[in-house]
Amino acid sequence: MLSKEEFIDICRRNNIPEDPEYLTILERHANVTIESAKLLDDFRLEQESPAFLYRDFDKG
Amino acid sequence: MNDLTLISLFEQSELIRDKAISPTELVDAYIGKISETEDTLNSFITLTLDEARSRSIQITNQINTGNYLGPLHGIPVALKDLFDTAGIKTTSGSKIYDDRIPNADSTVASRLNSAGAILLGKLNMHPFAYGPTGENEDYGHMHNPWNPNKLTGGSSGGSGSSVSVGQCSAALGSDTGGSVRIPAALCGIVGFKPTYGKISKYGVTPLSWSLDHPGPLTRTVEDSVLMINAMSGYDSKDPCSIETNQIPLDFMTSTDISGITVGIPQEFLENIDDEMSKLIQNAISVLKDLGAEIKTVNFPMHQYSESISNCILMPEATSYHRSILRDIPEQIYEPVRLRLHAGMFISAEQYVMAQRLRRLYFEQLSSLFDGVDVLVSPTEPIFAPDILSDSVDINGKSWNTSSVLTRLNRPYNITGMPAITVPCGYSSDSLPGGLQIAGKLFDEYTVAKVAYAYQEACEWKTMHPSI
Repeated sequence: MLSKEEFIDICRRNNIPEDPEYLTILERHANVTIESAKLLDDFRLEQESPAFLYRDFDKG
Repeated sequence: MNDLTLISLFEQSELIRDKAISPTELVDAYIGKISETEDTLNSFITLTLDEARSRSIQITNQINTGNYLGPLHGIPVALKDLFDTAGIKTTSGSKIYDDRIPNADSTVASRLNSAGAILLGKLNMHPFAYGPTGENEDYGHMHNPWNPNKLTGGSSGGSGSSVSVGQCSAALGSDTGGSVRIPAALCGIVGFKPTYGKISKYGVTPLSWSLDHPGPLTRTVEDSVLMINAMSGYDSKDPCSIETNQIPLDFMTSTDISGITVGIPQEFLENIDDEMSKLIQNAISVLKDLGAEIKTVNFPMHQYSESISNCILMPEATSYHRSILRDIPEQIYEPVRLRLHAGMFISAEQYVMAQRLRRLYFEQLSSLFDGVDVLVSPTEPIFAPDILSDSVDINGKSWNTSSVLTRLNRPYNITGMPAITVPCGYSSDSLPGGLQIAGKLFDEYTVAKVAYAYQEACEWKTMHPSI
């Protein structure tokens, strides 16, 4: 979860309008997004390259 | 003759070829159906009916003089309003682009035009394709033909409602986390997302270019295959485009699927509405009766589907819409603006990590195909919820609507594998359910074969909404 300061900092760096009502809703969205992204920390990748979906596949 | 607007594209095509009906008769039938139903459904953003009628007269003359082009010649279609059409407004579902008129066609619009299809109009959609429900405050929400108080699903909501009720023969949608399959399932029709790269994305407003797939929504499996065959083929204007073979239509010669093994990922059956579970179990029994071997499989990485998809989709969408987000954020539909702003909270490292994990995810899902030919699941865990519902109840537990609607679709966007939804029955409230069938990369043929066999064994394709 983001601290209030981190959230405000990211909003300011990205010029997100400082409407308090909107920022309250956005903070909730941002925290849900960050929690979802953190699930990927389960993985410890060492050698895997970025996605090459078609590697080793017959292209039809 | 049955209602012309509701018979399959395949049957319409045979009637046109045999000169039993003319394209003008067919266009007129659709103009009538649109005038009867559009006030209720709000499927279209732009109608091009005068142009369609003029073109139908030209095409009728072409066919009458022996210049028949093939199965889409004279067939009325409609496009989701993110496919560029030269000289015709293309909004991506937002009033921000209400006066945007492209100079050139998207590749798919061009190919459908060359095949002789007739454009009836541009279809309503979730703004920027960024949502799975079919809501749109700028052009009005889309309404489900089976119950207009229910959502169509999205983002290709107008594509779903228009084909379901018979406002066009076929529609085109785009699918980033299910946006072809979700509205097709909730509106009781077929939606086919082919392999990533099989259909060009040139001239298509992106949501997330590494997950976006154009695909048709139709009333039958064979109709979708005809549409894919007309649109596919390498396109040098799309860096992701791939040269692939046409899908042979000989799957229509038999409904015997003995020799085919159907895998059922157990993770895809968790937290499903009870009535939907029964429809899926019945569908699996039908596949078994048709000769398929049924096998239970496991896909543990499914628990990361939403995370991987979000970490790729959200930054790509935010990046694409960055200038309007900076300059005119107040003009963007608020739920979409919130998602675009939330994309700024995914770090570059997390985006790259998700793209790397995508490879592992792909390998695990691909490995299931070592023992099976297709994977089968519900397309949706639920039936169509009320319009604007934020949450849905599944067997007593509350879930976020958008998260539920995309849950079973995202795996095939992440991996690029082909996936189709076919109708598989109705709830006690007469709302349709969908059966999802997915295959190996580039194996649209086997997906279509199993889907067709199932379709022909059931009566669902003969059932239509009555508004």
